[in-house]
Amino acid sequence: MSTEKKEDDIILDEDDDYSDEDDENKKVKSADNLLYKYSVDIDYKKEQYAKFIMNSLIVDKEINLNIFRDFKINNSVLTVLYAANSADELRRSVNGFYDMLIMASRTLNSYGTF
Amino acid sequence: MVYIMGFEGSANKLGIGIVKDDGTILSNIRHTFITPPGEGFLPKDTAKHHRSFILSLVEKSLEESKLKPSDIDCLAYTKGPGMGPPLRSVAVTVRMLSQLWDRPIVAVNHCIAHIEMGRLITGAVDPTILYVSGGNTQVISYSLKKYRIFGETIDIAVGNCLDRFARVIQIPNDPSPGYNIEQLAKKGKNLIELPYITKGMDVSFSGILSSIEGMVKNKQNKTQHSVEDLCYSLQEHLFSMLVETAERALAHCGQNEVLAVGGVGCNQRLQEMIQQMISQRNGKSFAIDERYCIDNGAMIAWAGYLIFKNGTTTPLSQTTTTQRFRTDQVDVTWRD
Repeated sequence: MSTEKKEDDIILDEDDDYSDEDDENKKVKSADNLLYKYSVDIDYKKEQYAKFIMNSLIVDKEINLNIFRDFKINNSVLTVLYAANSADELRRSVNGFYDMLIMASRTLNSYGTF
Repeated sequence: MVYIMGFEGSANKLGIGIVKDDGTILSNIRHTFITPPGEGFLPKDTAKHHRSFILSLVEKSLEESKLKPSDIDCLAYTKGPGMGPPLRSVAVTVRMLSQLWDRPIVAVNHCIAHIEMGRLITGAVDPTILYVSGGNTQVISYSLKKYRIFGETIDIAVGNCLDRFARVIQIPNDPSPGYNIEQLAKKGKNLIELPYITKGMDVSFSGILSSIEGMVKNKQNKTQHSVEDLCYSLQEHLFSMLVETAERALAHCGQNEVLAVGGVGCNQRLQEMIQQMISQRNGKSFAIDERYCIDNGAMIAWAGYLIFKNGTTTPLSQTTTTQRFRTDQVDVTWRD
């Protein structure tokens, strides 16, 4: 099998937005050295529902590489931690997060059974 | 029987549609975010609109189809291309529904959904496709498992050009600026000379937009043109460019069918011009009306079904969205 690239190969840009290797290296990976932190606990009453919410929100990466975000589940409680060095960036990211959290929670309220 | 629910929200239209595996469209509900005259829709406001309407549209869609959530076999959503926040808002909802209803998800390319809906509705077998909308302008032909882009805009989409001109002359965005330009153009009588920029198979619209904007804004210095004449002239120039590149693709591929899809594909003047061109080549043109030309959920559902029936689904962790998703990135597993 030849490793030589054929001349007529179409080189397609397969990368998704915001998910290439360079960005991954620059991304903040820990909250330890960051100045501002925001954390919220939300109890969804059923562990399965907390997992559904987390699974829905964790797929979309934070666009801003300076933001740290973490999800944890303890029984039916979802814990979300946001951290950043800029209060303004933190506020914007948390606002965006709440928009999506509310959307997911509304969907849960419409079609979940309690 | 297989039922697919499709979710579309890549621009200012939010659509939910349900289709059956035989191509029957059971429901196709849509809500459009309309901004005041002179303004375009911004991503953040558009996403807010989509979030506030999506659950009620899902409910209406099921109601109109006379189905329950448990009857749905698969959920299809627009992975891209489009505006980031609206795409993500729809995707979050789909992920939740997928888990609550325990149904698989299929990610769909917006452009390919338009093409497949056009093929379903018109019955066109192997057409050259003119995909024209506010976000895309491409001349496409199918070959070897890909929808190949033979020509496209090298800057703004033709629909974007029309919409931005509508903002300059402050006409309403209801039902759509493109439609309102079309109505004004019917009353135009004088053809005003404007830049005509085709580049082989490609087209460019930013120059013509700047030129016609200049005519509107510098009224005190130059000849006055009526709004109707400007709309008429803009349409004649833009659509001639599109027809020229489509004809070039037809000649190159040896095809004799043209299918116009996308929001601007609704425009009757564009359809007339395509018909004139194709009849001179002894070919056939296909067009669909605004129910399916304009972004809708049924097209996502149908494209989703074509992918789903071959056994492909998208794992939940991969149900991301992307603002750029080229038409030719998709493997067309459902065609020979």
